[in-house]
Formats: sequence, structure tokens, C-alpha cells
Amino acid sequence: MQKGYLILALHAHLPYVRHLEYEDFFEEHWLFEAIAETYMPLLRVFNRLEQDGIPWKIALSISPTLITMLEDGELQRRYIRYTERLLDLIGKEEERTKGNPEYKTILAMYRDLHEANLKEFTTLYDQHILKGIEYYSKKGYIELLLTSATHAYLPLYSSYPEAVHAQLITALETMQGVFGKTPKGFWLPEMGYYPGVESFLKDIGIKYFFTATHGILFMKNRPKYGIFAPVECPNGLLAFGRDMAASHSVWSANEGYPGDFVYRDFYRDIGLDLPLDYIGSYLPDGHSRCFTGLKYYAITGKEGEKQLYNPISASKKVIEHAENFIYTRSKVLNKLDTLMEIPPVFVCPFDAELFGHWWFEGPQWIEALFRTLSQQDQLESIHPSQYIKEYGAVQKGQPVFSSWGNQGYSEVWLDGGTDWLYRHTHKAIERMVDLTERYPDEKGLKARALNQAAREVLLSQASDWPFIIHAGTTVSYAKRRVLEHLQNFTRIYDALCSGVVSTEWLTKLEKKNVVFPKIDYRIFRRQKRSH
Amino acid sequence: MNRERLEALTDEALRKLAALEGLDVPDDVERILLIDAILEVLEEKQEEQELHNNNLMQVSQKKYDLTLLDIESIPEENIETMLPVSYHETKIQFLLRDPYWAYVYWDVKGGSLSALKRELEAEKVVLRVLRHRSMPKGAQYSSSDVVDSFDIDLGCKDYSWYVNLPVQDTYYSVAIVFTSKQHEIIVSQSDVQYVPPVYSFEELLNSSDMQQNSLYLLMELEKLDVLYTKPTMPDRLGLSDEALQSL
Repeated sequence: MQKGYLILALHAHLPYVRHLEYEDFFEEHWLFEAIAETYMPLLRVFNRLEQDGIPWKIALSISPTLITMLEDGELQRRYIRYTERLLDLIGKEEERTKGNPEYKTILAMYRDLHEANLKEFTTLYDQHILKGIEYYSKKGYIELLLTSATHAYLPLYSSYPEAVHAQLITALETMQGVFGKTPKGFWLPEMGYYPGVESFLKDIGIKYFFTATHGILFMKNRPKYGIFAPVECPNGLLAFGRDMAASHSVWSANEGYPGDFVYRDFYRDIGLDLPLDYIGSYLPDGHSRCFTGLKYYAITGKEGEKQLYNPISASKKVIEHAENFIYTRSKVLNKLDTLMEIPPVFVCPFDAELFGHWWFEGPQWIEALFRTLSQQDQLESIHPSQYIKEYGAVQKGQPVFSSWGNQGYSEVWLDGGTDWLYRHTHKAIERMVDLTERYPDEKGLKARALNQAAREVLLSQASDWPFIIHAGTTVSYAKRRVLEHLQNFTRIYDALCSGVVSTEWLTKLEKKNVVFPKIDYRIFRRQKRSH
Repeated sequence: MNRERLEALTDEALRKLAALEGLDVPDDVERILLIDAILEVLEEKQEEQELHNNNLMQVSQKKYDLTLLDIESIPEENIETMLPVSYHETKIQFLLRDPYWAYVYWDVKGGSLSALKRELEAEKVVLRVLRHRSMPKGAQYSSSDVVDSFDIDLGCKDYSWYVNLPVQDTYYSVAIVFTSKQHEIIVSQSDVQYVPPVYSFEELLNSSDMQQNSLYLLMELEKLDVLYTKPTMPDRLGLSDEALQSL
């Protein structure tokens, strides 16, 4: 019987969204919903697994922008307010639906979820939930991964080594500041790989990274074991290719587990369904309809009336789906028995927010997965660095340009709706590099201005903005963010060129875009083009 | 957005929504017909979104979804026009979008190709797409290394193009060239970039090593979401004759 390994790699990321100039800001809810439905439930899953002595291993990337937001006192306070308001709405809903036992069950589930979140967020973690991640990392359950500072999609910055270097150094310093660690693995944003990026990764001590399936399969020397074993790049770094078949069952809304009819429907939310005069005071601006987080229906099917959600049926289905995942992998393992000389590894990378936020039962599925794994001995979870230590690399080659985006390359981040922005983000990098040469050793106000300029350049590069524009969701906001950061940068650039920096304006901007507080603008120093 | 939700909206909100979706609605249109028309547009939009995003991207975008449609949103501003048209420098940048298409943008001192064309006494300006034998060692490539090239005529107001790359597993660069009967002047040339190969499902399973083929079969390569042929065409095209014929 062939033994094999599973690498479950989760990537938690949100762009830097912090708008204290507004009492309640629509896009800040991205963070609050992710804390409430993904991060806190996952921490509880980790806790239960540890308490029950179940072995589990996860590789986890938390983007530096998300780290900064999770550590931000103002956003922490706003999350508490968000939860308190939600609990208030739950109370109102309990009253409105009184007498209906099905609603009672669903509302009790939401009350338990948000009360537990509030209690643990404020008491157990003292508002710093990264303490929980640090705990499980120190205990050896979580292997932390690094990713770029503002989630820049690196292939579109490959001609700008200063930008790639600045993204990585800023990310590393943020990670070290919070966790005191230098991760060994790297999560390429959107799995966007281009040949040569591994040189930058090696410079900061990274040993391995993940790529899209075809990043490995389309290599000139076709790898003997495909994506069932890592590939050693010419510079010695290892690339783990995504196991598309294994992850498909989790990603696919139509054919995958999350689309099962008993699971909670993502779209039917009382923020959209109930009359505005009833729900309005729980919406960010009082009248624009949006999700509140209270969703009462099961997916049910594509046609006909939706059925009310039944948490017990959903929990039973979660166990079936965890067992099915292990069963299908075991079948592949058996077939690999005579084909590989080392134990194969199935690499399953996912956005963390898939679990809980979109697939409401996702955290339960992760828990069921590890519990089921513990009951058999053919498939075992492993950290990438542990696999490398045990089995090394048996195949060598140069991965090729690829991403996990639609059609496998860059079209999600570079299309007719977003191509305009690269001319300007590239120019901002060139000017930032010029500034580091013109002001190699500044202190005081000029250094503050230069540091803020560096922040604005990094923020303009977030892959989220072109992604959102491409997806057609909050397009105006994404465009305004790109414009805002480019204009802030240009204003500082012009001010430095003319020798007059407005202290008042700069101070205001520093308070607004306070990401990466310890940034040093010299990260944009000119780099050799040899990479 | 479903019929039930649309029916809950006022006539004014429905008209506003219709306008946001680009519908030209007569003043006397019946409410029910207006709702039908909006629903149809929204369904088409949804289908188009799904076509342009794989499962993974569709799930990823859920973390930015707070509503199905924000009808109160400010009509989209033309933010692109709020940034400089030119930085008054001569440069060209080549961004590989996928193994079939590259996005190329450029800028020239003075901000206008036509002014430079007059200054250089050129008859036309072209975007030259060059295919190279290998990656040059230094910043410059030698002309003997260029295997093939084709030109795309540029209008004086052009500032970017999507360029079709007819061959994969090779090296490309682009240059802005001013030409006249007497001479050619290259004003800017890009870095050389490697364009990777694309293998079909069948090619990947066509190894002489049968054991490897058996292993590759287990990867369920039919699920590979990769652009193979006939890619969706970006908005602005630059095609070689060869590529034009193949379309």
C-alpha cells in the first residue's frame, strides 16, 4: 500500500482597506466578514483538533496587508462594533421570527457563532487574533508562508526588480515584526510565477514556493513525477505544483462539495431580502442594501423556492465530503504505488476565505478532514519543509510563466479594462528608484515623505484592484484606490522635487495610509538587472 | 438580483438601474417589461462573468462581494483620464499576457508620435515585433539573433497595442521604429522575453515512457484550465499576416 502526503496550504489575504474618515465603511466589511466567518472559526477548529490530540498540519500564508489590518487597534474596535450590531440584529430577528422552530435553530447557530467570536476576540486573544496563529505555529501545527507586501501580481512587474525586491523585503519585515520568524516558503500571489522570481526569493532565505499545475507540467524537461513531487529550480529552490484534481472538488461551485444543496446559500441574505425600514439601520450607510451575514436558506437547487438551512444536515454532509476527499486521494495513491519511488504529495492550495465566508461549512470540512485522516494511515498531512527534508527533490527543471487565474496566465490582471494602470504604476516605481538615488540618506521630514511615497507605490500595486475591475464588483472603489495612491505618490514626488513638503498634508496621509509603519524607502534602491 | 427584488424597487430606482446597465428605456415603458429587460441584461452579464473567470476566480471574488448589485453606486468615473497621457520620455514596455498575446505600451518625448515623426522626417511609425533565437546575454541583442519580425503600422494617437505572438517556446521583443525610404530609426526597444510553450492534454500524455503516461493520467489533465488556441481577443489588436490568416 502506497503511503502519501497531503499539503493543505491556505492563503489569507485582503487588500489594505481602512477608512477612519467614515463612521462605517462598506469595504471594511470585507475584513469583518472574513474575521467572523473564516479566521475565528478556523482558530476554533485548530483548538478542537489540538484538544482532541488529532494530528494536523497546515501551511498558512497571511498577507502583510491583512497582518497590518488585524493588528490595527481602530479596525479591531470596528470589528467589535460590527459584531455587537450583528448580535443586536440577531435579537431583533429572534423576535420577528418567534414561534418558528426552524428559524430558531438557525438564529441560535448565528448567535453562538458571533457570541463566541466576540468573547474569544476580546478575551482569549485580547483583540490580536494573530496570537492564535503564532501559538499554533510555535506548536508545530502551522508552517507560516510569506507572500508579497501588497499582493502585487509579480509577473507584471518582472521588468522592475526594485518593485519585486521592495515587495519581498517589506513583507519579510512585517512577518518578522509580528511572528519573529523568517518563513521558508513563499505564496506567489495568484500563483503568478515568472522565470527568475526565484532569485529574489532565494535572496531573502526562501526555500520553496507553489506554482500552478502547468507551471511545472509545461517545463521543457517534463517532470517524471509531474506535480506529485516538487521540482528543483536551477538556483536550488523547490517548486510545488498545485494538484488541480484534488483541489477541484473543493473549488468548484458546480461540481465540488461547496455546491451541495444542503449547504448554506451565500447569496440570500436578509440585508437584501427584508424591507429597508426594518433593516436599514444595520446597513453601512442606512440605505444601500448589502450582506449582513444572516442567511437563512440552503442552496436547495437552481430552480424553485429555497429551503431553510438545516445546520445538522449540513454537518452530516461535511463528514461525507471529507471522507470522499480522502477516498479519492487514496484511490490515486493506490494507482501510484508502482509508478513512484518516493511517497507522492498532493498539494492543495486554497484562499483561506473560501472556508467559512463563501463555503460556510468549510472550516467544519477542514476539521472533518483531519479527524478522518487520523483514522487511517495511508494519507498524512505534512508541511512542505518537512517533505523536502525527508525526500528532497528528485526532479529538476525550470518552471514556466503561469498563474492560477482564468486560462492560466495574466488575463485576469491585464485586460482591456485594466491595462491602463500599469503605465502609471511602472512610472511610479521608476520615480521611486530615482528618489532613492537623489536622497540616499535622508532623515526627518524628507525621510517621512520618502517612506510614505514608498507605501503609496506598494499600495498601488495590489493585485486586488485589477482583479476587482476585471470581476466587475466594486469597480469604482478599485479604480479610485489606484488613482489615490498614484496621485499621493506624485504629490510627494513633486513636493520633493520642488523642495517644499507640506507637513500638515503629509501627517494626514501618514495617519490615513498607515500600513507598514517601519518601512524604509531605501528598499527601492536600484537593483542589478541580472535576475 | 432576482425578480422579487426588482419588483420591490420604485420606478425611479428601476430606471436608474436600467440606465446604469446601459438600457435605453422609453418613458412610457411598462414596469413589467422594464423588469424583464433588466433581468435579461443582468443574466447576460452574469454569464459573461462566468465565461471570463474559472471556478477559482469566481470563488476568490466572493470575498469582495458584499451585495449583488449596488444600485446606489456612483456611475463609474473615467479614472483613466485623470492620469497623465504621457510622461514625456521615450520608452516601450512589453508585458506578456499569455503565450499568445502581449500588451505593449509606449511613450515618447514630447508626448506625441506625430511630432517625433515630423522631427525625424519619417513617413510612418511602426511597432516592430521581433522573434529571437535566444535570450541576449547583455542589455543589447545582435541583429543576427533575430529570426523573424513583423511590423504593425501605428497611428499617431496610438499609445498601446495587444500583439499576437504567432510562435511559442521562443523569445520576443518589440520596438518603436520610424521609417522612411532612406532610413529607419529605432527610438525605443523593449527587453527580450521568453514566451513559454503550451502543451495539449494529448501531448502531455504522449511520452515514450508509458509509466510516465500512466502517472500523468492520474493528474486529470482534462481539468487543466489553460489557454490552448484561439484565445479571446483583447480590445486592440496587432496581428502578423500569419496570425490574421489563422483567425
